[in-house]
Amino acid sequence: MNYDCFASDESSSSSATWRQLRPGIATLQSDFNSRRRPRRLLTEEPVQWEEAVGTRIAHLMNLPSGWDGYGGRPLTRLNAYFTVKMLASVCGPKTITPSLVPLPSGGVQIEWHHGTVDFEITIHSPSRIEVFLCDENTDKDGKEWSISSDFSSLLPPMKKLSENA
Amino acid sequence: MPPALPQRDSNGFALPHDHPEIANEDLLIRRISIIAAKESVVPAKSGGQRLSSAIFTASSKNEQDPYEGLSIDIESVAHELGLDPAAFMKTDQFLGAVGLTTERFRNETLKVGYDPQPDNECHGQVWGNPSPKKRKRLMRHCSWYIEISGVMLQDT
Repeated sequence: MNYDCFASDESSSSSATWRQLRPGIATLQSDFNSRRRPRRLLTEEPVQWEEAVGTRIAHLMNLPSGWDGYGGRPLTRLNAYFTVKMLASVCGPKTITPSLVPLPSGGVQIEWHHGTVDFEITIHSPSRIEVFLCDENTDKDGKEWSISSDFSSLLPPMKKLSENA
Repeated sequence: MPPALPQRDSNGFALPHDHPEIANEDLLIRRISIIAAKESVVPAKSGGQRLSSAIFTASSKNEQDPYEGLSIDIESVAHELGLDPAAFMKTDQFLGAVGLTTERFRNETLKVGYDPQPDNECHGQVWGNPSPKKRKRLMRHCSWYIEISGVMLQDT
């Protein structure tokens, strides 16, 4: 996936809206669903996390510059797009809605804290993503790793979260 | 006396350094803006809300911060300048603040430097891009300097 078209519009991130991103994201999700997942029926309930994440991302893209008091940037279009693409790839219909926390860099930290599991994905940029997983029952200190375009290492923790939902 | 001034690059940015005059026991303060107090919280397992470790992520490398530092304020500098640190930290823009000793940052192989600004002589920076585990440990050891009502720092 080439993100250049989003990167070129970085400067306008604060005025971007979820509505502007939505068509591209819908295409991505539709494409993903048709290839790898059973098609959802129109009568089925909407997936809860999709709506919540979309609303939250739109909000974070419209944070004022300097929101953290130290020159923090709002969520960039590039990171917003990447976040939705990644979540659409790894989340299932039963996935618990994550918390999305803005980063001063214009990135976002996606967090699930459920039961004994803490799972966090920190997106500084599409080429710099950190993952943290801790299950108090098995590994109190947790483990961390980096990923880029291969999201496969996110699937086991996501499955665990969905099972515990 | 405040610490010696840092070396700066041609654009005036402080070069990353570990300042020898900032003692391990000196308290470093990370202020929490009114917006961050609302946006940088996650549901606590025990109920209520707690601050996310994302507050310890550095800024990105850009024209405003080419060295990706984490802004902090140095309590001892405020004392030396005759300022009341708590009053100085809490402004219209900031609702609360968390504190950690310099040693905690250095234990995570992060550099702590002095970077006074025209509007903030107490300003310093932490360089080294703390990883998720490091951010978690910093979060675990920090305490409120100015508490935000209804927000926890750790899951109890």
